[in-house]
This record gives sequence, C-alpha cells and structure tokens, in this order.
Amino acid sequence: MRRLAALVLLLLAAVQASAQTGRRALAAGNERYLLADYHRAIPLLVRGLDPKSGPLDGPWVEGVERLADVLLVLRHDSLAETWLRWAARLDPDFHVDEEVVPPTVVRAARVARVFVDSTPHEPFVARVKFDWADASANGSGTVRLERANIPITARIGTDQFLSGGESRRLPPSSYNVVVSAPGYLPTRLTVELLPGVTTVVAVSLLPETAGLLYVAARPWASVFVDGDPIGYTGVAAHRLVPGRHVLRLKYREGAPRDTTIVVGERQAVRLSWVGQRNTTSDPQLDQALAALDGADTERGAVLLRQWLSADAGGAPEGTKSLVLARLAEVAWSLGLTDSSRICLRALVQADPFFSIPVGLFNPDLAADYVRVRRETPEIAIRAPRDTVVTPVRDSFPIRIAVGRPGDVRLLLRITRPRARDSLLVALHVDSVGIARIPLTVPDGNALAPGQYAIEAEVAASGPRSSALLELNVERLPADTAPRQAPIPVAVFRAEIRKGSPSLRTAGESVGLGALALLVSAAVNDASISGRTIPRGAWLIGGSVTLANLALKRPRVPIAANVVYNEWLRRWWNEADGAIAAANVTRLGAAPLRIRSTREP
Amino acid sequence: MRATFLLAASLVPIAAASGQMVSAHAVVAAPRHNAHFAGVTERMDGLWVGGAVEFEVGRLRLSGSGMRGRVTSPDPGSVPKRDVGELSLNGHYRVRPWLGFEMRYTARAFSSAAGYQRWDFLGVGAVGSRDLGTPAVRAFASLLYFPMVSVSHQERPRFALGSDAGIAVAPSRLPLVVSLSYRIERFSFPESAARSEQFEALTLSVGVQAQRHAGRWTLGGAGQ
Repeated sequence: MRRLAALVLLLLAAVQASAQTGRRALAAGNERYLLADYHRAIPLLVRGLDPKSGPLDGPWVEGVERLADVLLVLRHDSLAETWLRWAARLDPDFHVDEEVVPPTVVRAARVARVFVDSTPHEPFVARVKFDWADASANGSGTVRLERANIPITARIGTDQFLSGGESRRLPPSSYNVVVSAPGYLPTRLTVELLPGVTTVVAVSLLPETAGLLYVAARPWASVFVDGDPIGYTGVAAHRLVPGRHVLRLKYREGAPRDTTIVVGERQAVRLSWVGQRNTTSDPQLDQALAALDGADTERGAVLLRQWLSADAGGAPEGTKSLVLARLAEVAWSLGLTDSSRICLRALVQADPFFSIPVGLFNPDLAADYVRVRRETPEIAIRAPRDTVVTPVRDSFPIRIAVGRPGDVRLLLRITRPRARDSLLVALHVDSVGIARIPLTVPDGNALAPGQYAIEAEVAASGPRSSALLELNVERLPADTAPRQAPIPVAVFRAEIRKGSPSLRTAGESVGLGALALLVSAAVNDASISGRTIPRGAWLIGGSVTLANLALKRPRVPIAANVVYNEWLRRWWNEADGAIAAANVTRLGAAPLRIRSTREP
Repeated sequence: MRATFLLAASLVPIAAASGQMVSAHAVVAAPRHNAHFAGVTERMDGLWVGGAVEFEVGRLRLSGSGMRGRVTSPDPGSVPKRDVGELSLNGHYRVRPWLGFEMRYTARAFSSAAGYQRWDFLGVGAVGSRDLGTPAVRAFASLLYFPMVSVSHQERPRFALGSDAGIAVAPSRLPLVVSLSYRIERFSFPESAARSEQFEALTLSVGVQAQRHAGRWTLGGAGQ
C-alpha cells in the first residue's frame, strides 16, 4: 500500500513538473483558463510566460491576454497592468487581439502601450534580463543591478538606491531607474517588477565625453557600428565613445556602404546619404527639409514645427501630409515613439490618400504607420476635378481612402424636389479603393444636369466617419435639330359653319324680345308718351331677338375640313416627334462635364 | 338710366361673381320727359352724359352714378329748357344666376328759368337676365316699384313704377362692358292734381372692368 501511494505521488509530481516548464506550463494554463479555473491558471500562465522558454509568438501573446483577463476578473487591476506593460516593453509588436479579448483587457492593453511608448530607454546602454526561476502568482519582485567595471549606482523609484551587484525586493509595479557613475553619462530606463521574477539591469555607461551620431539615409538602411546593429535610419543622437568607428549601412537591396568615422569628444557627427531630396516651392519648408536630409535632425524638427503652426492651411495639396510624415520619422529616430504615432494619426486624418514616399519609412516605422492607420476612423473621397465623360459609355470614378478598414457606402444626396439619399454603391475598402458610378439611370437616360452631393460613410466598429463631395454636372452642347415650326393658323380649314336657326331658336328669340318689349310696354303710359309701345322698347326687343337668333345658330361641322385638319396635325406631330426623339438620343449621348466643386 | 348701366354690369358672366370686380363706365343717354297736366302734354328731349362706378363681391353688387344734361322742348319757346342733374345709388343681390333683387335710390333735380324742382325716390324690384347663345351676351329686364317718392313744391305721386330692359356685351378676352338699355319711370299723381309724368331714357354705356384674382387686380372680365 505504501509503495502504491508513493508511486502515485511520484507520477503526480512528474506531471506537475513537466507542466510547469516553459510552454507546457503555458498550454496547461490556457487549458485551466478555458475551464474558468482561474486560481490554478495564474501560476501556470506566469511560469509559461518566461521569455526564455520560447519565441514571443501567438501562444505567448495569448498567455499574456489570458493572464491579464484573469487578474482583472479577480480585481488585481494593478498587477494586470504591470504584466501588460512588461509584455509591451518586451515585445514592441505586442498587441492584444481586440476582436477576441474582453473590452477591459483591450482598454488596459491600450493604456499599457501608451505608458511604454512614453517611457523609452536606450537599448545600447542598458539591457534588462529576467530570472524566471522563482516566478509566482503573487508576492514581491526583485530588481538587481548587475556589477560593472566602474562603481555604478542605481536609483529605483524615488527612494531606493542600489550599488552594482545588489538586489532589492519591491512590490510588483513599474519603476523608473536611473543608473549613474562619476564621469559617465547617466542613463534612465523603466522596468516592470513581476511577482517572484528577478529583473536584472545591466548597463554599460558611456563617458561624459561621448560623441553623438546622426545618420540620414534615403532609402532607409540598417546601421551597424563596429559590427553591432544599432537600428534603422534615421539615427539621431546615438551616443558613441570617442575614437575611430566603422559605420556600415546595409540597404534592402544593393551593396552595403562602409564608412570609417573618427568621433571626437562631445562631437556631433552627421552623416547623410539621401539620394533624392524633397523640395517644395516654400523656402522655409525647403530649409527644414534640407536640415533633415543633412542629418541636422533637431533643427529640422523645430523648423517643421514652426512651418506647421504658421502656414499649413494655405499649403499646396500633400505638403502638410509630407511634413507630418517627416515629423513622424524624426520623432521615431529620436526614440519618441508616442509622438511619432501622434504624427502618424494626424497624417491619416489630414489626408488618407497620402502615400508615403518610397524609402522614407523604415520597416518599424512603416509597421507603426499601418497599425495607426488601421486604428484611425477616417475616410476621404476624391473625384476628377474637371472631366468630360460620355454617359452611355463611361462611368464616373470616385476614389475612396479609409483609415480603419470597413464597408463604405456611397450615397447620392438629392435635395430637390425633396431631400433624400440614394444608395449608389457599397463596397469594402481596406485602405484605398475606387468606385465607378454609372452615369445612366435605370431607364437608360443620362444623368440630368445639376448639382449633386455624394456622401461616403464607412461602417466600422467605433466612431463613424463620413466625407462629402459636391459635383456640378453640366451637359455639353449637343447638335440637336430645331423643332418643327408650328402650323400657321391660316393653313387650317374652318371645321365649323353656322347653320340656319331652328324653329325653336326662332321662337325663343321672338319670345325673349317680346318679353323685353312687354316689360317696357307694361310700365308705359300711352296717354302720356303718345305711343302704345315706345320706340326704345322696340329697339331693345328687336336687339334681343336678333342677338339670340344670331348667336344661337347651330354649329355644323364640315367633315372634309375636319379630316383635313386632323391629317395636318397628325403629320405635324409625327414630324415633330421624330425630331424630338432624335434630339433625346443625341442629348443622351452628349458628353457631360463633371466638376467636383468641393473636396473634404 | 342709372339702372341701365347698373343692370348692364350685372350681365357679365356669373362665374366672376365669386370673386371681386370693379368697373368704371362712361354713359351717354337720350332722355325724354313727358308731363301731362290739365289736359296738356308737355314733351322734352335732350342728351345727358355721365359716369358710373361699380363694385361687386360675391352675390352683392353696389354701384353709384352721376349724370348731367339738358332737356328742351321740340317746340321752341313753349317751355323753357331745363338743366338736369341726377345722382343714383344702387344695390343688387343675386339669388339665382338669372334672378336678383334690387334697391335703388335716385335724386334728380331740374333747374330752369321757371324755378328749381327736385325729385327723390326709392325703388325696389326684381331683375331677370339670360344668356343669348353665349355668356358674353346677356339680355336683362327689371321691374321696380317706387314706394317712396317726393317732389319739391308739389304733391307726391300716389303711384310710381319703373322698368328697364336691355342687352349687354362683355367680351371674354377684353376688359370692356358695353350695354344698351331702355328704361321708363312712370309717376301717377292724385286725380285732384290732374297730373301724370313719365320719364324715358335710351342709354349706351361703355365701361372697363378689372377683377381680383389670386390677390392681384387684373384688367378683364370673368372670361379671362
């Protein structure tokens, strides 16, 4: 019985031990997570996130996401944020999958990324390593300052001091570290202390007399100093020990370029390999761009900022976008990742159509640009400013550019006779797309001349964005035939003639006349007037009789003339209709001049 | 005479009555005044001219007219010539397209070397009218009774009647109204006065009318 129990314990221990090593621990932690066994998932995930246990690939990112989620669920918000900062600092490409993870994790990851971007460090002076042997779910972390060949001191946070080779246990969090030594340039960095993990800070301080290296190159290149890679161009304010150095620029294509430089004490060495310089018609802007191309990075940045705040509104199309792109590049080369991304976002918002000049952005910056662009809800549409198209044959191209990808709907806005929107086309746009608007309506007629507005809106998660374009459609003169001249009235034959009055009309006329006469006769006093019926009464009675006889004669149609007139009208209608139909056809094929009167 | 052009104006197409209409008329008349007194009949003829204005809204029509002229005897020297002035106010209410009621007040004054005499009389009556083949031409006839008549310096008549008959033309495409009418006013005095008088007039009236349509006044009749 004792042997059996010992065997079972041995087996369990073996299983646990294997699960706790590297990626197997990560897999086991993920399994526990999926079973919502959070308390057991945490230590497994923590152990599995050891960066030395494997590449920082998808499972590792997933492990960080799940560890953060578990910690947030268990109300350990501060610890979750520390883990996310640690991951973002360790892997510059670390991003949580926003479509999968809970919103609380997405928000925390964004905050962590912003924090890390705002606290960069010099990787060539200070390096950070992790000892994962005692990593745990909770407890304090340890920071150790690695011994150097000079007496160095580190200040951790505000009140903790370490000498080379010393360690200190501190609560898990982010700490600002300043390492200094007499006669050397201090270096600053930010580290995250994790429960049970020993964070080792190793520094190689540069002497106070170090020089500064600036490298500008287009197309971009990878830079090596004395065989050690220091990153992509542009390089700005990279410190070098005074003396002779071999600089190598390795391009994506073509042979590398080697240069030997001698850096004096506190000397700034500026090297430029810019093939084609940017020039504009603005002298102030050209001066700024020349400074940047000459590797005078700080001065160029100041001049660009001045230009942007002074005259960006009236600049030619694309100029502001170019300036923002150059500012993003400058900020990146100075290590100001956060500022660089702000410039990139402003660039997308200013003009989603702007295409980055070839060779300007190095791969890291280009990846940042793609990421920022996909996070920025922006849309713009463009049409030819002034074009002539044939409705039946051509369509009207509308170019669409979006920041965040999404389904774009193009709406034709009509204000008369009543305001309404008509959907023209819907399409998915990932970055830039083109929609071709037909210029004929379903019944085959060409688009009527007038003022139109086309609105584009992108349906994507998050804020909605839209853009408006006004079009003035004008039909160019067409060679139409004049309409048939009206038939002169004299050509028509009389269709009616007056007939002889009927007996009934004659009787009625006499009766009406007699009535008019009798009214006067009834009042008349013949003994005074001398007449039984006064003359005036005869006149009025006769007039009434004659007028009724004349005006009430029957209207007799003249059949032959009616037929003739109808034939004449029919002939005229046919001739005029043929001309009208021919004119409609010609107008339908007549070219349309379309001018886009406003662009967003 | 006043009734002539007032009734003439009533002959414009009925359709116009639903709106508002104003008209101004120039009138010329050939009057005859017959007076029988003590077995002697005295006849006087003349020529009068004058004008009239008229306003019509819906079924109601109001008008006023003034005329002035002279009547003379065909036998020179037998009776002194007389200057005549006449003022008339008329109200007409249409109950059917062919029938209406009328009330008229007339003041007429004679002035001659023999003296001045004024006649005032108020009449009520009915007016009938009918199209003659076309709405542009209408015939009309009216019969009035004058219950109140007063004559200055003379006994008032015991009985008075009036009639008016005529024909009016209002072309639909022109703003004109032309009418021709004949009227008679007969006054019988008490037998003790041994007197009776009759007034006749053949009147030609030419007028211009304007109607209000959609808030705007335009020249023309109902046919426009």
